[in-house]
Amino acid sequence: MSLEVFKGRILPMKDKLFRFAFRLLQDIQEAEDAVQDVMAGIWAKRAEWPQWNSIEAYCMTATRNNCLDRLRRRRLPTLQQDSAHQLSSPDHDPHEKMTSKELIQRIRQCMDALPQHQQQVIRLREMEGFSYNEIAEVLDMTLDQVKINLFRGRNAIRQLITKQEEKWKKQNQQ
Amino acid sequence: MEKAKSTMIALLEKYWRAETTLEEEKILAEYFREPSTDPDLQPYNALFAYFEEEAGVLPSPGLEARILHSITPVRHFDWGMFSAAAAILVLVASLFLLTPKPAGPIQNSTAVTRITDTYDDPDQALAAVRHALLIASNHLNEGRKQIINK
Repeated sequence: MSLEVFKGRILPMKDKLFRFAFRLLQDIQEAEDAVQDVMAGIWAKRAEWPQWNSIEAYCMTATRNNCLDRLRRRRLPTLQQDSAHQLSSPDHDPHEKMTSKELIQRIRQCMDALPQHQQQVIRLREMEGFSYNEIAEVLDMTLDQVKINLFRGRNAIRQLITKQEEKWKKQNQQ
Repeated sequence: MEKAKSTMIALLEKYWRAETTLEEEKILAEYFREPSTDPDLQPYNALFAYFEEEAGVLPSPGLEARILHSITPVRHFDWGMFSAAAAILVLVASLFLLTPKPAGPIQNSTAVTRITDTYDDPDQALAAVRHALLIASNHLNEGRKQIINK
């Protein structure tokens, strides 16, 4: 019975968990190992499943904690708060025409340079479709903190897009 | 078209303020996925394209099998248990074969051989037995004398 629940409800979450882990660890193999660890841990706690409010939120939280442990072991340097804004004005050829693909690449760089909390909130919201409450539970934040991080992260990306758009317009006028 | 544009601009403003619902964000994503987006809003296509691209990142196909394998471990052959069982079997077999059997009724093939009467007359039979015993007694006495003389 437990195996059926696991296969039907928990195992399908592996893709979401993997994306979440991969964005934190930046390593495919390690992200998969983290997901495998988390899934095995959740299976070991199958007697507790009925007591959990949201299995999905629990899985995400467990994945986050597993990844943070791995990062601590690796002792990776953490990203700085302002580095996203530095990336928003790259020193490129002013006559270079920005294509959509290039803009996507800039947005990716901007996202990667955002502080971890902002990145995580945006990813859970935009890519996994989590509600504000679920994000708060997974990331152990208040609802206000979730909204503030989302606001700041989205606005860093907005600034990047606006600047590129202005550059684009100037190039077209010349 | 203009109405759609103004609706999207209003939704975008709400989006930047982090006040949109998941439903409203779906509407935005669907609008910006279309190639017919208003030219003024086209730079935002890249943003939603990026989110879509990121949401499509998948683990390797073998991950599911690895997970299932890790939660249902295969039982390996237990050589320790096998050795112990084999040792016990050898011990029991040795005890059975080496222990002397208690004396009991002879059940070998000679005992099973049917004994048929040699004589019909009991007197003749008694005389033959006496004769056989006499011969055996003589042989025994001869043997005894030889031992004593030595």
